[in-house]
Amino acid sequence: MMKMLPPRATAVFLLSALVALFSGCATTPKLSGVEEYKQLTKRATVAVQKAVHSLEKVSASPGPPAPKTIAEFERNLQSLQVDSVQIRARARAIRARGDAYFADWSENIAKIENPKVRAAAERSRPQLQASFEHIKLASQQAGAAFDPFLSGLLKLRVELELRPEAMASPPGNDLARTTLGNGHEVLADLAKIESELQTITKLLTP
Amino acid sequence: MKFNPAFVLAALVIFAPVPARAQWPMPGSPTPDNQRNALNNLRSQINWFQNSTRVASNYGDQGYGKVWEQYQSLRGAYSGLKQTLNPRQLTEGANALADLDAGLDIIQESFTIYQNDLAAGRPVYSALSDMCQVLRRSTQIWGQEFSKHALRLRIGSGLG
Repeated sequence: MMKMLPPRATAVFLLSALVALFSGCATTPKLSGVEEYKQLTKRATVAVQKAVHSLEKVSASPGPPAPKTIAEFERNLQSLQVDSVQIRARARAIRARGDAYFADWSENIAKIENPKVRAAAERSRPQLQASFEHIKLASQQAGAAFDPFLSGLLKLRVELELRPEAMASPPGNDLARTTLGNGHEVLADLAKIESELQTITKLLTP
Repeated sequence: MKFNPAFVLAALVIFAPVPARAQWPMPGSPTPDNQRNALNNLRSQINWFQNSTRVASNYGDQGYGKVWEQYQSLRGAYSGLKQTLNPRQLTEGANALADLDAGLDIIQESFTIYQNDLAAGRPVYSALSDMCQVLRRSTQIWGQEFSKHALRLRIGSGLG
């Protein structure tokens, strides 16, 4: 005679079956280079957003910023230095390798086993090529905007550590404003990269 | 002069070529052994470098120099490893290697930031502490990235 499963086990079993069913139906292709670049972009975006937010707090202060605000700024700056290494490295690698970087992606697309995805890639070849070009450009722009952004933040760190009162002076305000502008530029470039990567995923989805 | 076999044997033992123990393996053919040695050496260098960033502040002004030397050893080990890669690994890993190369260049910029901080009047302790923390965390991520690619490219597995 068949044994009845306890209700909890039945629920787990049914849930597993549903997950297995839907994961089998998923048609969104996972192209490793694209997915990895998406993750790098997201990680860098979060780090830049936090740094921009800290800078806004520091520059909003009418007098010398509170030690807690300065500490948060320094913490976020350090995280930015670490979390941006990969995306900046990617920008330089793309610049160094040029079209060869994306030729590698094209080869990977051609190797995808799913014939529907391969057919979608074949149909969208010109659009894919255009997306590669846009990513190349946006990566260069993000890399170029990042350097003055980081440099401004590092100068502000020295000021905050040695002369916090100088933040309220016109030169301090100017530096903070310019650096904020650079930060927003980096965010805009990162958003462009993310959007193009999303476009590639859509183009490859049958 | 009388021929003495024992003398010849002793001379052979004394003058026999002994494998050199260089700091990192000499660039050589892309054999699995060469790759494994170079891989192990790089992993050790990453660990030693990370350790140098933890203890740098104990050395005061000299801490910077010690961390710099250790970073150059890490770069040397990576460079040595690249020279053991076979043509397939170099082709399939071209993007990854370009990423890793650029990553090391960017991480190295932390040393310039330290110099600029000192020039701007920042105390050695704060500048060194920040530099070491950034270097430690960045090389940790770089090491993870490297391991991922090493696995994908089957470096040192003998299946390349």
